[in-house]
Amino acid sequence: MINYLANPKRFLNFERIAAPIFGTVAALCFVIGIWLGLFNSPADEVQGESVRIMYVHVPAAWSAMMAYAALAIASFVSFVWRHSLADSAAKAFALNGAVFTFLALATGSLWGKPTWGTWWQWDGRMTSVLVLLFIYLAYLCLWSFMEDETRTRRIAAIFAMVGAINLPIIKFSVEWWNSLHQPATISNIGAPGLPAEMAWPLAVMTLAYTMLFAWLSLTQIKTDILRRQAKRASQKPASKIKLETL
Amino acid sequence: MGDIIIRDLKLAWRNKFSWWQGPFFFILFITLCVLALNPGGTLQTEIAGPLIWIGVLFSLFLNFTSLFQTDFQDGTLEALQLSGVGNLNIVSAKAVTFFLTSFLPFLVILPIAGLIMSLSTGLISAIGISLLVSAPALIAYGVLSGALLGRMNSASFLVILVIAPLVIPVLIFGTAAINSYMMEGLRAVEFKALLGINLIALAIGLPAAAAALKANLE
Repeated sequence: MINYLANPKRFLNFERIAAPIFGTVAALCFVIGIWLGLFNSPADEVQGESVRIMYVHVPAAWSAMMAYAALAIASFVSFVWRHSLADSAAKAFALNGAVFTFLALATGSLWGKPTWGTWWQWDGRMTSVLVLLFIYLAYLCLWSFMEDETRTRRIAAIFAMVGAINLPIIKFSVEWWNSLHQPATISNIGAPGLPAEMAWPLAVMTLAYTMLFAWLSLTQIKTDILRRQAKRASQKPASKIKLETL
Repeated sequence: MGDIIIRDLKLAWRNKFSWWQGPFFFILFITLCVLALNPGGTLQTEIAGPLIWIGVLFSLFLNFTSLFQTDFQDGTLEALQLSGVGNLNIVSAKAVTFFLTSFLPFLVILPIAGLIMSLSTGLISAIGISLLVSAPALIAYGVLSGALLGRMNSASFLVILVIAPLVIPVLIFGTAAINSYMMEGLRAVEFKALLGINLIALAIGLPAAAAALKANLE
């Protein structure tokens, strides 16, 4: 699959079919998920109506981390096999990941105010997600500041791979430090977890976020490929003098 | 590796300014902070440790920029590579020299900073020990950022953006270690956390820095 798509031309063909599908599925899932979340799910015993923020907050945080994992993998591919498509992908993942991280922080802050009584708390989970946002932004800065593209892609890839040590810190931050942030409800085996009426909207919203991420990334990768092709086409030959004239 | 260290030490010895520009910046920073924070107030003893930490961090950040810059420009690194010296050896040597020439001076002038802020000897030594214990992680990430951006002409701003997210855990546990050292000594849990951070930073930062050198020399 990845081998097949590594060819830019085949990728563009795939994008032409897949991107509209992903976009449509994302839009549909958002409509269904928001309807389920707002009107067709119970309020929480403790948190009341504010628990509905979960349906936008949790998927955003998951997609932010998934985006970084994708970024690290794309960087690894770019570093080892020097494939230019992996760089386009890494750039797209980083931009979308930064936006999702910001969304997760913003919605988390809005959720924190009614339930914990504070917008922000410097505990392990929030600090490490903020660090994730900083790493995303530094990565994007690396791309925008550098002059030489071939060198930048190597350097950005190394930085992205080093930044991946933050992912396990985010994952385990709620277990390592006592914090206001609740530990994972979903993945605990044997724990009661979420009731089905709440799990469904969450699942639909997660699918919506993932599809949105896929759609945005695909279109951005396509734009980057086209930009690169246009740049190559507009490059003038180094010299106009032909060998015969010499 | 030893030869590179000796060469860099010689270079640093000849270029006298490089020894004291970091500490000078640091003292300047502390002075500005004290003046801004109502000199003679009692507030200072509480925030002195974090302020000193921030001051040291930012003077280190500014030094990391120039870590590999001249070596890239005058072709030293290419020559070292051609002569078969491994990149990991080069970055390890750089890390050791950086510790000797650019990190130790801060520990030496720490008492002066304590004098400016009128701190107790116990507090100053606690700050010094927290800095010393965090040194490997700080320097490993610093060498990485220097190697990543060594080919850039105006990298000093970007270096701060790149390294700051990585050293946030060091800052958190380092400043927390000041207080716990004064209460429990080196047995405090923060020092164990710092030890772990140091090991991770060395294991990831130095090989990544070697890879960055290689990428920059292609």
